[in-house]
Amino acid sequence: MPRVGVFVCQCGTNIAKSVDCAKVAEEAAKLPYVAHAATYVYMCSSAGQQMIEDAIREHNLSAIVVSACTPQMHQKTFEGCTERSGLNRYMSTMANIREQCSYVHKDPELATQKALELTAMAAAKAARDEPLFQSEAPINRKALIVGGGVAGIQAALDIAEAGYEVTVVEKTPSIGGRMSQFDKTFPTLDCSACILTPKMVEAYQNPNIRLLTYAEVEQVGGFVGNFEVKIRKHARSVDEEKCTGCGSCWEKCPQKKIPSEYDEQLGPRTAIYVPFPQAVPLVPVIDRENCLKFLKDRCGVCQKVCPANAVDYTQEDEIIEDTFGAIVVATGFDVWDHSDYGEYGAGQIPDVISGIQFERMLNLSGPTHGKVLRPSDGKEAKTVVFVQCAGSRDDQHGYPYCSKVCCMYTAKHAILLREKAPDAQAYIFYIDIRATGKGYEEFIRDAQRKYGAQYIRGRVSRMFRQGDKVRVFGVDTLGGGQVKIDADLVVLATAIEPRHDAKALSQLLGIGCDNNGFFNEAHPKLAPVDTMSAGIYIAGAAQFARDIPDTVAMASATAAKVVGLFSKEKLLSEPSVANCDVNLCSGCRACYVTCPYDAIEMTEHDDRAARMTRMVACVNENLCHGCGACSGACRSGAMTLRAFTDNQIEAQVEALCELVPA
Amino acid sequence: MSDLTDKVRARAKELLESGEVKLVIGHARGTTPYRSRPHFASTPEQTADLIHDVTCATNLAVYVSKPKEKVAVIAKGCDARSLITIINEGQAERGNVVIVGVPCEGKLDEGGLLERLGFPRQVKAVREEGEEVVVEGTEGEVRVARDEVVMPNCTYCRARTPAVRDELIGDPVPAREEADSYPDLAELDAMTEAERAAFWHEQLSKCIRCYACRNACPSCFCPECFVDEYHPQWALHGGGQFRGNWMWNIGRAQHLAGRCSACGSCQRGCPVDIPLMLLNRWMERATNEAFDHLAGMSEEQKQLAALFRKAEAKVEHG
Amino acid sequence: MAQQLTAETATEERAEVAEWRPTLLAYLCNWCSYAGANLAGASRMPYDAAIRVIRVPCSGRVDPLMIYKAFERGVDGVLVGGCHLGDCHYSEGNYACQGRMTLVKALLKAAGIEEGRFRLEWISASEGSIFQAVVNEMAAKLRELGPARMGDG
Repeated sequence: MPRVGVFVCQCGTNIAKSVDCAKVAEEAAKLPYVAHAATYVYMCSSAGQQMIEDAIREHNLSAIVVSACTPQMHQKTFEGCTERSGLNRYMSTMANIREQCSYVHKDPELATQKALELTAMAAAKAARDEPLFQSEAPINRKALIVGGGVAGIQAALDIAEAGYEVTVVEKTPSIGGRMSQFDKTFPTLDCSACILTPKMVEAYQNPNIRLLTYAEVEQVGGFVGNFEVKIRKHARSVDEEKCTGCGSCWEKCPQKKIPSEYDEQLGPRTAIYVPFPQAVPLVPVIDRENCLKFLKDRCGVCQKVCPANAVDYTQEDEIIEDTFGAIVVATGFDVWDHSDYGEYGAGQIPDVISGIQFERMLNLSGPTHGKVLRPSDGKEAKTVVFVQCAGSRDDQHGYPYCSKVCCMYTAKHAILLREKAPDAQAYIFYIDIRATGKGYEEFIRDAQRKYGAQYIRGRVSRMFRQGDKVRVFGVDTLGGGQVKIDADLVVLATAIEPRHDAKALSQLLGIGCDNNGFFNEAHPKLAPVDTMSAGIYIAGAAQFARDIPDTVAMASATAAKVVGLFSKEKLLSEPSVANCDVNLCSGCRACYVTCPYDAIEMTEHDDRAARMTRMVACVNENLCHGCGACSGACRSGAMTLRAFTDNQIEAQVEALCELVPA
Repeated sequence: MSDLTDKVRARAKELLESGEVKLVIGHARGTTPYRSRPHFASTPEQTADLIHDVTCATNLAVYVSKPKEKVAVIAKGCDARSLITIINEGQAERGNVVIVGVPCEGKLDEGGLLERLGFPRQVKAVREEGEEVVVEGTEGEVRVARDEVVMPNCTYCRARTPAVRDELIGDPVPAREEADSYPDLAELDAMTEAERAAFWHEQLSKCIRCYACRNACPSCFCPECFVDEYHPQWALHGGGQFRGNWMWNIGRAQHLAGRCSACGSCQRGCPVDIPLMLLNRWMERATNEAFDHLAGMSEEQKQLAALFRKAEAKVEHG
Repeated sequence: MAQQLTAETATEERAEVAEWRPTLLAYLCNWCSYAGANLAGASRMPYDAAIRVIRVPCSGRVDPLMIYKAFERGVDGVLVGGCHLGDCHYSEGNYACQGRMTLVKALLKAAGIEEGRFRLEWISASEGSIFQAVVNEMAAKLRELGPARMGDG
């Protein structure tokens, strides 16, 4: 038989001024299961807490109710009282008679009656409290980072710095990601490689960091603290241990005209290649689809010229299985393909290129060695039209969202264009200018004033080839009227979009994508780098279009989350988690389809009474966040939420109805 | 012997002889010529007792519970809807259920028939002829329009041919147009709130809590029903008390929302004639309108709760 | 039996008292609506004393039976409060709630329980004034409707 103690707080006069606390205590003493009731001026004070602790011992109480302020303020305080008195700390319930009673009801009679009813409801719940325990799980203190761009590198460095092992899985042959493709960065015009390459090398050299390039995550199981991951390391055909990165192989490779992914198809690469000269690791891969050895069993030059005997045509994919405590997803973004945009030439006009292609063009080690040349004839481009929001803010052709970085990189392009060719002219079509970062607005103004970029507010209606030019028709909504420009080159500020394999990865990880296909954060405001799966975090443009400073900040935030997790001795789960009574479970899966955390598994249950094995729901307490959506969905009452059981909630309704005055 | 009965027997025999299934669940003649009973044939010989005619009203899905081996069910549209629903809810594996579909133009409401004929009257045989049901009795033949003597739910059936089936015996028949216009709810719709409350007070006061409705329902498969629980005691146990009866019947309707195949078994089984199908159809209309969901009408169907999810939500309140 | 009689007698007697006061039961989610109610309190925004709150972790925890049970036991109105869609602390518990409450609203209508007796509201932790307005509106509506009669009052 439960013995509940009721403690009515006066909160100085905050409660007592409209609630007759003595009367509430007196009436509460008559309630079912209530063995003791008292009132005091400040229950949360040391004296008040001592009073509760003494009463628990003296009256042999099994649970307490403190009728006071909101549990959001003092639930933990009074849990301390029960714990110190030798009870389970969760045998403690608060009735909110301050914020939800005395503060809002002035009539003493009404307020006192309501306080009593709220206390009775809390007592009914407390009488049905059961001891709760946090379950413990060990933590495997190794982090997995998916994606080796600037976000992945930064997160890896921060976690490694804190002393934990990190594995970075990168799909391409080198880490570096999108940032390694950029020429300069806005708004400071630092050379992108100059600030990124040292970080890449640092990651490579850090003993706590293992880089798995040309590799992909294939399978993810387990949960926070213990993710079991299978990684496929694609056959490189080159022994990473032996290779010295001397370059003999790719210099001699006869297949020289394969469009380079890194150079966005503007320049060629060989079949055995490193994507770019500063690649980390500086170990080439053989593109087997384009290698004569693999296609026709001829050539073999690379193997012959390799001084380190590193080329190995028989190498096979390697499967690496490991366990990680946390995962950071930093897979970056893809660039919207403008080829289905008829107004912009449907990808058929060679002199209409994307912003990232222009970026490669500007780079000294890029396909044009830093010269702005027309892809059609290799002539220098003098009149360049930039079109912002290509695929962004465009429900019809592209995405509804703003890609966030295009205004800035277009201004950067206009500046760099003028720096390369002082007689060149940039025309920029825009809808709005969004320059909200530190130094961003000033940067745009520089582009306009110092570098003479012509900003035209309006959209481009169409463009087509006119002789060796691209004729661009647009509208100038500020100046009024049509604009016609015969351009040497058109650069589309193409939208940032989710990686094409983001959906598949989200399913592997169980983190979900938003309507546009970016990974879902746990909360848009308060948990932007968390996901709905505990222990999995997201950084950079995998979550949404981001610029470099935001990406790096997010990466460090994920690292802080990981380090915070790893600094715990053990993983303690929420005590208030869902629990399934298998005897009542019909196996209907209503909970299973409802759970936002995939915390429910259907498992076999050996039902001896029915002499059969049947499927029942089982809660993984490490994944459960305690929302109770499963128990709200359960018809048979098998699934319930600890501390908020059906029984406890129904008892509160009963207690209220018993007391409704005539 | 009707054509359909012959075909059902032949197919059932074939299924058992070939070893494709271990059991065929169908109907056999009941205690009177206007009644049928469920029949479980596990040998080819036992298929000789199978029948299929206007008397085969029972929803056979109620007999399918986690079969370990393959069973075939001679399924009307509503049986098939129930089968898909319970398969969706883990009560059977799809691979273990062969849905042998049969078309249905309505099944007999025995009570209504007897009332129509005037009791007592000796019935020798009942058969269908076109749109009529022909009753042969000791005092000659009586012909009645089918709609007048079938279960009320048959007059607005949307699954006269099983929507999901592995095969079909006989020719398909189209759904009743009334399925989506809900003429059965017109009376309830026209009432004021107070009138509806009074209507249910009258109806539910009769409930004796025998749970025949629950036993007849294929969707009621919980090991313990909410109404039988003690902690918490959602509804006072035992009949005769309106509020407890209200809680039971409302809770039952809630739990069947999106899961009812409109087979009418609950109402047919009710000894005190509570029009339970009104609540079920009311909820079917609601789930259809809000979630585009009709229980058991497609193989790929998701559970209703799955349609509440963020990724599926169409209407956003607030 | 005894409990039943108490409830029914109480309903009758309450109706006879000149100053009848409705009972409004609210299931509020811990993170938004309950916090919104606290804000109303901390800001001293007075509202009708008819309301009694049961705190739940998430509006998704609310089982429709909890609403029917309240009406069965004589509560005059029920409010369910959750986070705005997209703001749920548990990502989408409020979607589960929304789906279920769509069914509850339909069934209460079928049963003849007046529309104003049940509301689902999304109230954020910063919307103390909205909480105040919702409670006042609902309580006023309940006074207008009188005690919940389920055909037996």
